[in-house]
Amino acid sequence: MNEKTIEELFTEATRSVDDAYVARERAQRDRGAAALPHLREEAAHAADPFVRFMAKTLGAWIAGEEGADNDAATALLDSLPARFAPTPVREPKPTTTEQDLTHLYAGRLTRYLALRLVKEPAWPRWRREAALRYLIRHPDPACLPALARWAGDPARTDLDRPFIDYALDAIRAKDSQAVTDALAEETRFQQSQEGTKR
Amino acid sequence: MQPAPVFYLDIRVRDAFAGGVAVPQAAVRAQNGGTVVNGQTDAVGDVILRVPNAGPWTVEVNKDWFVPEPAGPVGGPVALAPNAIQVVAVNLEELQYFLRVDGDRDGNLDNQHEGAPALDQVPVWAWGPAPARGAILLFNNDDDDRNPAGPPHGPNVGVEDCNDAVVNPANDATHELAPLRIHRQGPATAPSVAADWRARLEVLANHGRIRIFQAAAAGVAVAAGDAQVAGAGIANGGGLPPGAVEIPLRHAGPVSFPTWDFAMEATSYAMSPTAPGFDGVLTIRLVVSKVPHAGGARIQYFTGAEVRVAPWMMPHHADNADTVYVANMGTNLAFRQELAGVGLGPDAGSPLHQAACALVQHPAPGIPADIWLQDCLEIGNATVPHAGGSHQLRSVMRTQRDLGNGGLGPYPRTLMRRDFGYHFPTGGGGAENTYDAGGNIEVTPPVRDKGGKLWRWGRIYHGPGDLAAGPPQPFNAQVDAFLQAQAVQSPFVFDTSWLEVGHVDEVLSFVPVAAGADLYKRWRLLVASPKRAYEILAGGPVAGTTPLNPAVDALLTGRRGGGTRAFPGGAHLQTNVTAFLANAATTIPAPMPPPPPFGPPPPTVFLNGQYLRAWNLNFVQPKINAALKQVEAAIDIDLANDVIHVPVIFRPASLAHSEALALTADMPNMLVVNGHCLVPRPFGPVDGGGIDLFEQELRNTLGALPGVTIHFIEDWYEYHLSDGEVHCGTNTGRTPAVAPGGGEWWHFAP
Repeated sequence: MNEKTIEELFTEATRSVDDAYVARERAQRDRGAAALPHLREEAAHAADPFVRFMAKTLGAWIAGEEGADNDAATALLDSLPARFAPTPVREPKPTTTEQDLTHLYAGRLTRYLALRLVKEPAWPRWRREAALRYLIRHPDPACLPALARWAGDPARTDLDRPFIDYALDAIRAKDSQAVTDALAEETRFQQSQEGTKR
Repeated sequence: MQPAPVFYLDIRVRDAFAGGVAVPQAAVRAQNGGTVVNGQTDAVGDVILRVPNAGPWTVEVNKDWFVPEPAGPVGGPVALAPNAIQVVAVNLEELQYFLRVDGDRDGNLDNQHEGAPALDQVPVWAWGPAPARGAILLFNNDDDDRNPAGPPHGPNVGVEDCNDAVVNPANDATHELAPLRIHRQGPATAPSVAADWRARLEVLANHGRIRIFQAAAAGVAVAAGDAQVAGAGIANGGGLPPGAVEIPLRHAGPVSFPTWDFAMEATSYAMSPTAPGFDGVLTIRLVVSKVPHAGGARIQYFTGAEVRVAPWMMPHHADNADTVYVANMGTNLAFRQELAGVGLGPDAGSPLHQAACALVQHPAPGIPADIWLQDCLEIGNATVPHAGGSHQLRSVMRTQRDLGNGGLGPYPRTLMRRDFGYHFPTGGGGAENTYDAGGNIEVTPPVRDKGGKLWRWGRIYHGPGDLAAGPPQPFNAQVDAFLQAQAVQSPFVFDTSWLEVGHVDEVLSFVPVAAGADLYKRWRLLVASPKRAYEILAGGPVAGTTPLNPAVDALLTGRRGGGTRAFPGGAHLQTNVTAFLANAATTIPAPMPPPPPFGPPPPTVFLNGQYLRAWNLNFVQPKINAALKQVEAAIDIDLANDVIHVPVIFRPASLAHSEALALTADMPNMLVVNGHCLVPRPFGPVDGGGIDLFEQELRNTLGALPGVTIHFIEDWYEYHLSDGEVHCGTNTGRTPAVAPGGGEWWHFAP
């Protein structure tokens, strides 16, 4: 059986979403340190700012800097619907979920949640909103490529928009220039892609 | 030389239809061959014409809106005498069209014209008893003809009567449509010139919110408003304003200038999803026009009426309950039997039988089952005038919940039938959150506010959502606007965001009492109180019980942290008072799964007893006190005498301990029907005689009041462990009682 190369897995991950993405992300993480050189290469040189962000986030995860928190947070978020489904609340409250994530992980989930927000568009609304509330609570300029990609995604609903704006504003309060630069770079990248398509 | 004789005509123009009153400003014309003498009647309807000879002269009289056109002298020729005044009588009859509605709100079409005699203005709809005027429409959202809605609705789901273009059978025509008449004032038979007359019936704005039918009879089609259907003698479209129809005012045949009866219904309440700016008031105009007999410009006038859609009103706990709704889930049979007896009849002697309420059970849909009947709907009413009194339509509001039509989402619409309407204020758009559920929308009994204003039908109250955390997570703005627009029960809010579920029924409940000179204080407000609970645990006396023996006496007796009543599971929660208050771990149901990788979530966690007490007294109690302050700002309430503090211990519901849930069952979360309070059994501390001190406390306070009967209902496994209680699991149909001092909603300005 021919095992996919790190390069192939990464490329497929950039093009996939939801379960397909998570499977490819998992496969890269399972490669451990062997995946790091390519991720570092992509993080440094990819033309797409979001791909650079993805490579950096995965690289840090694999390097063990924040992996345990990410896995635990994923398991917690996955467990919540069953907890709330029998109750009058029916589904997890985004505000409470954010508070509990902060209680457990302080601000250590920002890049993980920002990455997954973009790569798991099928997340239910409560989970999207909880993640965005977390990013508002913990403004992190490192997440700007993901937020900029999210902000420019026409598939985002009107219900999501205010949260994206809040999240960008929260970072803007810390580093206004970083937000301006990230949005500008995203715009340039998207325009370059339009040119490619033509 | 003898002066030439002169001849005088005294033309006296009178309105025969109006009893011979003078007709001023009528144009008078006398003609003899090529000689013409003109004049105009004065204020008393007369004009004297001087003519140069004995004639013969022909006299014609004209005035707009008077017939015949032109009018000639009454009777045969009259002889003129030199230097004498000859009286010539001319009869005109005013021919005008007016609107008539039930402006005096007695249920009958009025005999007076709406807005007359002043033309070209529409009288403003006015609140208050007579002489305040203004007709009322019913949002005709019941289903008299039981016509199926078809997919995607189920087989038993119908179409609201206002959403079809005909008058429906049953009592649609007799009770649910408001009368409207184009009333003709004038002669029985029209002259030929009347062919030039036209009337346009128009709805000035929000014409989609009303249907005007050609008559009040089953099967009759729409004439104007939401959906126009051309009928005999009616034209629409063709450049007319939207919602308008033009009606020729002369028909062929012996009956001309018809007086025409119409019937009106509303197609929404104020602030519907399809009319977000609609305040419930509609303006109907009748524009009458004609071409003068001598040609020239088209002249017109209008008359009109404002009509108001009857508001949706929520009944309160003092209103007469007749039906209790509950989800039928296999594992809640014991709970239902506690409500209604083993046979679920309700059986004689059961709480619901004593309260004279029927039990309606609906299968609990979904996995896990949706059992929260309180949250999926609110049953209200709309009242309109009817001959001899009023007509009331029960009307269920679907709440902003289960927008994907899972769970009990589709259930409210299935309740629609004759005299039981359905509405969905948001139409299903937007987001949903826990604050939008019916358990977070309640109403007070009749109250007054701090300014002395009387709220005869109570005031709605709800939690505003979580407004503090980043972007707000608010109570649905559309529903809020809808409730505000109904006006007569103007809502107030208090903070519930600190509760996991976040519903007002978790914190307080109004219970009516049967006595009291002040008609606006015939209630007590029950408020959850950790402070009172811990006072009792600390040995505070409760009449009728023996002092607690903390080392022995238990609380949460026999309770476990999971499973069902038949098959309880999870950890044993029972503990003694000393252990519960100790600086050591006590066992409580888990607020939520602990974070991995610590293994699968157990149904219980351990919390330090002293910490739990401090958290209750320093986090929960201040939140409740703040909520009470918000209530106090909205209504006239004496916190010392009108409030009953009900012992409840809360537990943290989130890992951050930022939200609360009841640990002992939340007694204020009770069902109140006809003076019977069905209270969740709290499982508080039990004395040596086996008496639950929390229960006894409620008996001593609430149970001592006149007209109140308490029934404790066990809901621990069915509802409490799923974060709800008796009230959350039930709903109620009620008929509003007569407001204090009598009167209907339209009699009092909100």
